[in-house]
Amino acid sequence: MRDLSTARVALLGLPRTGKSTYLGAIWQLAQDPQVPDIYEVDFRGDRSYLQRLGDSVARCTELEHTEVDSSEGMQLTLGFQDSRTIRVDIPDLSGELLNQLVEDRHLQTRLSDALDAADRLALFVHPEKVDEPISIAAAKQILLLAQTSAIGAEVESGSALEDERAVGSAASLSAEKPDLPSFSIQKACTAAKYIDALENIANLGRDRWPLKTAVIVSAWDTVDQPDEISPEEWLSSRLPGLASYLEANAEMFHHRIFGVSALGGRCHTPEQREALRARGPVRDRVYGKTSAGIQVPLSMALEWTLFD
Amino acid sequence: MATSPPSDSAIPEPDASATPAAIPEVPATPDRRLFTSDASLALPEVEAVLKHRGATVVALMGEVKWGKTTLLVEVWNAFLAAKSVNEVHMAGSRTSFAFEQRAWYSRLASEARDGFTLRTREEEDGFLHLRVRPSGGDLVELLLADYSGEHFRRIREGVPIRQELPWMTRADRFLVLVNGSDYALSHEREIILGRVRRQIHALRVGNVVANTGRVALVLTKADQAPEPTLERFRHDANGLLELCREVDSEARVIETAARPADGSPARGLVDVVDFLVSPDPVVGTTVGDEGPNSANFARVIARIG
Repeated sequence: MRDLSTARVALLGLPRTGKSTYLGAIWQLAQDPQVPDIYEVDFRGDRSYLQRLGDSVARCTELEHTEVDSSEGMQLTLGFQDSRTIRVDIPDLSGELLNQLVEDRHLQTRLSDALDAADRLALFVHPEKVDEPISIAAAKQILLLAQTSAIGAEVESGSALEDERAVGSAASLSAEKPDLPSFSIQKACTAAKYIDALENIANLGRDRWPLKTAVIVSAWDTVDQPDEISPEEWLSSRLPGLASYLEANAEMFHHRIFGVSALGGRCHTPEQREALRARGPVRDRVYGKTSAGIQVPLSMALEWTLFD
Repeated sequence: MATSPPSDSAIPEPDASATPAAIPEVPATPDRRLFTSDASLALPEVEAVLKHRGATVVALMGEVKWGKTTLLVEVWNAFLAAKSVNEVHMAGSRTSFAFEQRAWYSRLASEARDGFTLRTREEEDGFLHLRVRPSGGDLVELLLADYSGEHFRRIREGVPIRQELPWMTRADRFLVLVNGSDYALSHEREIILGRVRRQIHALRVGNVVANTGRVALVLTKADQAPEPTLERFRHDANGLLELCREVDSEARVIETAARPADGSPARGLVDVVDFLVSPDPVVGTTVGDEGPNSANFARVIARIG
């Protein structure tokens, strides 16, 4: 048997940004003989972790992030549609580790070891977990426009005034400076958190620049008009600072943006879960999007990350 | 208090007495593994950035509540809100959270009714780091001084600039601020102009502007000055500019409204960013290939040595 090349991929993201779900869906697809895009060749270690992830995706249940953990990481060999095979070493998964770096300012040995070993990155961003840096001035402008538009259309302006009161009441809860909530890193905008994380990651991996990085917008089915917007456009619109950072640092990060729907839809309520299951097995529900918005197999983002 | 007379040379000679205090040695920090900081950078950390790849050190000069920190915050906000500011892309920061902290009360999430910036206290003095890339250009590391306005009051009152802020000898870009909201008050105007003149004078007699340095006179809070007042300012600015041009022949005026009180979009930030990334003037043959501030960086390193 010829020697296989090995890719070491660090799956990174703040907590609950879709890393485990993506891996669970990939595992389900790799086990499904009717899916030609990806298959399992070999696995070393404890399969139970991946199986639990895969089961959860198949059942359309949300993963409790404390429920599953893989402190040991995993090594598996995957085959892809064009007979290319590669040994994949996934050193770690926990979003808490990145969170500890960003919010607690503490670089855990597990994370630094994982990053020291990784030569590829998959960076997860969840559309429903983006805190944008909305300025008070911008909010007022939006409110003003809404009011103007409502008056122009001769619509009852009570709702706009209600909106103003909502903003005003939020402010007046703590009108005096001493009563205003103070800043903590948890309250920083999402772009700032990712930029801080990437600055540290780039520094740790500076001997391996450019780091091949898939930016994976998870839960793609939850973005507004997922068929009308591309992942690249989404990132530029919702996290322009992060998009700019990645583009301006081509020597540090060789990146590409993907969208993935690793569950196929929302599964917050029993009805949503039921509807999702009714659409069939995992292979019939999940999909990926290229940066330009072309629909591709879910495994495409991983495949791009793994192969040179 | 006595001040040093201006040198005949445009290039200030290293001041042996000021150097040790200005540039502390970088302490060994083997345990520190994070590349970024959640606070502004202290001088030893600034030193590390300068030694690593060089940087453009930016001094913002203005008294308390003249808008120095707000200008920095709104530049940061502008980079977060769009993929570029006039084709200049944000390429990173080692002090993202220090920016975020200063930006907090300009954000809706803070629950403040109107945006404001907490005043920088002396114990919070430090530098904010921003890495940018002009379109098609090289990365530019900016170290933006966020220092309390109290320093500039003391400089205005006669404390030599090298004594009050020794690092100013290392600055590459100088933004001399004019508080537009106070200037708009007729009874304050003369006082404001006098205070600005003192800052420019301090730059001149302190010999802190190298021949690769750039100076801009920056009107802040321009939204609070009606058009006739702005016209008047443009007239007064000519006189101030003449003084600035004694230290930088290409000194310019920038009018800004970084956070207009009426909530309208910011004005002048593009000009500020352009100024920060503008190339150094070519002086003789001293500018190398390493970057726009290489000549000044070499000067700084020489002083460290």
